[in-house]
Amino acid sequence: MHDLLTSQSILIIDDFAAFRGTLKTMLHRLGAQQIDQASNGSEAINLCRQTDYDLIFCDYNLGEGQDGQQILEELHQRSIIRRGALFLMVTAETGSAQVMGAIEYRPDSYLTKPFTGDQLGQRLKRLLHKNRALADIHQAVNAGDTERALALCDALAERQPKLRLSALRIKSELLEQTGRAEAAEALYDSVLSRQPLLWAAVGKARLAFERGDVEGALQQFIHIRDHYPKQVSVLDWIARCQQQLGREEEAEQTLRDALEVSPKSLQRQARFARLAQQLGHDADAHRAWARTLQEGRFSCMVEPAHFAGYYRAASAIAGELAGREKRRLLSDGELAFKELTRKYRDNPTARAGCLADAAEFFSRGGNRDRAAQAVGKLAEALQDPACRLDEEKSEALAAQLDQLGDDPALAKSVEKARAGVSALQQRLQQERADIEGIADRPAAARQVNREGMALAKTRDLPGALEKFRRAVRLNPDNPNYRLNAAQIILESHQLKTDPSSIEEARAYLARGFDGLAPDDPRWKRYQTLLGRLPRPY
Amino acid sequence: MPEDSLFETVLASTVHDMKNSLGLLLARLEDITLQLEREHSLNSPVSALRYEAGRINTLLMQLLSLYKLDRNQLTVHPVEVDLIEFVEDCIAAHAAVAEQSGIALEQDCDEELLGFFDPDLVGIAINNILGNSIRYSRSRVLLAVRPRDDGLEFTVADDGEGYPQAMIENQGQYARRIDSSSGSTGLGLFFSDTVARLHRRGGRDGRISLDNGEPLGGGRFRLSLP
Repeated sequence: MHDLLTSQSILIIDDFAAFRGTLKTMLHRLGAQQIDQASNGSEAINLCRQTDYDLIFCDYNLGEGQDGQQILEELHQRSIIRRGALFLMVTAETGSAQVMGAIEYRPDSYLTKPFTGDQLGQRLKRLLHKNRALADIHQAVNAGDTERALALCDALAERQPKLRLSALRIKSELLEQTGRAEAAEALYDSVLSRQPLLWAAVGKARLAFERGDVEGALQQFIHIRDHYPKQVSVLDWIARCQQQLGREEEAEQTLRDALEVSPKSLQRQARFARLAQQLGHDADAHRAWARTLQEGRFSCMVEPAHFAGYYRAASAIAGELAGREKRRLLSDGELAFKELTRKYRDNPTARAGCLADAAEFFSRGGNRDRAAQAVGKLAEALQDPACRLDEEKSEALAAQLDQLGDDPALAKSVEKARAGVSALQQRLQQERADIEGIADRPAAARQVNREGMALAKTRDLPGALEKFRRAVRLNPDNPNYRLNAAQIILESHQLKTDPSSIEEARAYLARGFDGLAPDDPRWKRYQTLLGRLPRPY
Repeated sequence: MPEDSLFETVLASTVHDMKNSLGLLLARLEDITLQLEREHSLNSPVSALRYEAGRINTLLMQLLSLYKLDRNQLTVHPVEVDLIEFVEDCIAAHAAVAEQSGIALEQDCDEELLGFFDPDLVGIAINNILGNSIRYSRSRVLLAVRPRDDGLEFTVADDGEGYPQAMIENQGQYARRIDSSSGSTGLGLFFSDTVARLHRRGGRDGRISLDNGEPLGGGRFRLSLP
C-alpha cells in the first residue's frame, strides 16, 4: 500500500477544512506524499489544470456552487482529467448521489462519511491494484492507439476474470467512439445476457437511438427506468426520445420528473425551458431559464442561447406581472445582463447571440435606457471582425432589429446595429467571393494551411484557426485541414469550453474521413480527436 | 414552511453536523490509538471509545432513516454494488475493534459478485448486526454474501451463545421487542427487517431470519434480498 501511494499526486476537494485535514492525515499514514486541497469547484478545476492528479477525493455536497458530480462532469468535458485518473466521490448521508449523474461520468468509487483509515486503506488498495492492471489500456487510449487498446481489453478480460467487466466497459466505449456500432451492440448483448448491468443496457438503447430506431430506443429506456428507478440520465434519454417522436407534452413531463430528482443540472433545466417555451408554458419556461442561468454562474456549460431564451421567456410574462413581481423580474433581468456582459466580454459572437433578446425585454419592461444600452453593445459586437454569426442567424437578427426599431427611443442605436448586421453580412459575402475568385483552390488551400501550421507552432491558436478555417473553405474534401482546425479547437482551453466552437469542431470531423485506410496515421488522429469531443446532449 | 418539514430539515441538518463531528472524533481516536501503539502501551480504553463512537454513528443513521420511514419518506436507492467492496468495507469498519477484542473477522464473498440494492441502508443494517456479533462472540465472526434465488443472501454468524430462544421463536415481531432493557439489539433487527422489506423486486420482498448453530456454532443472522 505504501509503495502504491507514495508516487501518486492527490487532490482533496471539500468545503469543510477539518475534514480535509483528517483525510490528509489518513492518506499520509497510508504513504501518500503529494496532497493538494481545494474547497470548491473552481479552485479544484484550476488545480487540475496545473497538475495531472492521479487520485481525486471530492465531497459530493459542497454547499454553494458546483456539487461533486458537476465537478466530475466538467473535468471530463474540458478534458482536464486523464483517463486512468481515479475519482472518488465522498458522500455524507444515505442518499441519492449515485442516481444523479450521467452514466458516462461515474466516479470510480463512493466513500460514505465517516470512514476510518482502515476502510480507506482497504478501498484504495483495491482500486489502485485494479488501476495498475488497466494501466496499459489507459496508456494506449491516451496515446490514440485504439486498436492496441482494444486488443489489450480482450486480453485482460480473458486473463483476469475479476476485471472482465471493467475491460469490456472500456472496450464498448472505444467501439462506439470509433463508429463500430455493430461490434459495440454485440458486446452489450453478451454482457446483458449474463447480468442486467445499467451501463450495458443504456449503451444498447443509445445505439438504437443513434441508428434512428427512436421508438425502439424509447421502449428500451422505459424498461431500464422500471429496473433502475430515479436514474436521472435515463429519464433524460426518455425525454429525448419522446421529443424526437413529436410527443412534446410527454417529454416535458418526463423532464419535470427528472428535475424533481435532480434540479442542479444546467443542461436539463435548459432542455425543459426550451420545451416549455415551445409549448407556450411561459411561466415554467421562465423559471427554468432563470435556474439555468443560476447554475451557469458556476459552470462552463452556459450558452448565449440560454440568455436569449431567458429574455424571451421574461418578455413573454412581463405583460402579466405588476407591482413587486414586475420589479423583481426587471431586477433579475439586470443581473443577467451584467452576467452576460461579464461572461462574454471577449466573445462578440456570443454577445451578438443574446443582446437583441435582452434589448427587447428591457424595452417591453419600460427600461428604455438599458434597452438602448443593450442595442448599443449589440452594434459594437457586430462590428467586431471576430463576430462569426452565420447567414441564417444574421437574417433573424435583422428581423429582430426591425421590431426594436418601432420603439422611437431606440431608433438611433438600432440604426447602428443595422449597420453592424450589414457589416457582418458583407464579411460573409467577402469570404465566399474570396474563394470563388481563386482559380487553383487546392493550391491556395495548401498555402493557407502551411501558414496555419506556422502560426500553430508559435502558439498563436486563434490566428492558426483562422487559416485552417479558410483552408477548409477552399478545399472542403481534404481531411488534413479539417483535422488541423478541429485539433486547434480541442487543444485550446478557451475554445474547447465554448459550445459554438465545439459544434464547429464537430462539423469538421463529421465528413471527409471515410476514404482513409485504418493504417493511415490520419485515421488515428481522427479517432483521437473524435474521442475528445464531448458527447452531444 | 409547515412545522413537520421544518423539524425534518432541522433533524437532517443536525444529524449531518453530528456525523461530521463524529467523523473527526473517530479520526482523532485513530491518531491516538496509533500513537499509543507506537509507544508500546495497551490501548483497550481507546478501542472501547472507538467502538462507541462508531456505534453512535450507525445509530444516528438508523434514527434518521427510521424517522423518514415513519413519515413515509424513506426511499430506497438501489444501485449496482460490487459485493467484495461492500463486504471489505463492513469488515474494515470493525477491524480495529475486533482485533483488540481478540475476535477473528472472516469474510466469504466471490470477487466478481455484483448486486443491486441500496448500499447505504443495507450497510447500516449489516454494520449494526456485525457490531453486536463481535460483542457476543467468543473468537470468530463471519460475514458472507452469496447469490441466492436470483437475489442475494447476507450472513452474519458468530461462535457465541447464539440468539436467545425467545427471539428466534418470535421472528417477525421485531418492533415489539424494542424496549429500553434489551439494548439496541431489538432495534437493529427491526431496522434490518425494515430495510430488507423495502427492497422489493419482481413481486418479492427481502427478509431477515435468525437461527443458531451453523456455520460457526453460535448465532446466525441472514438478510436476503430479491
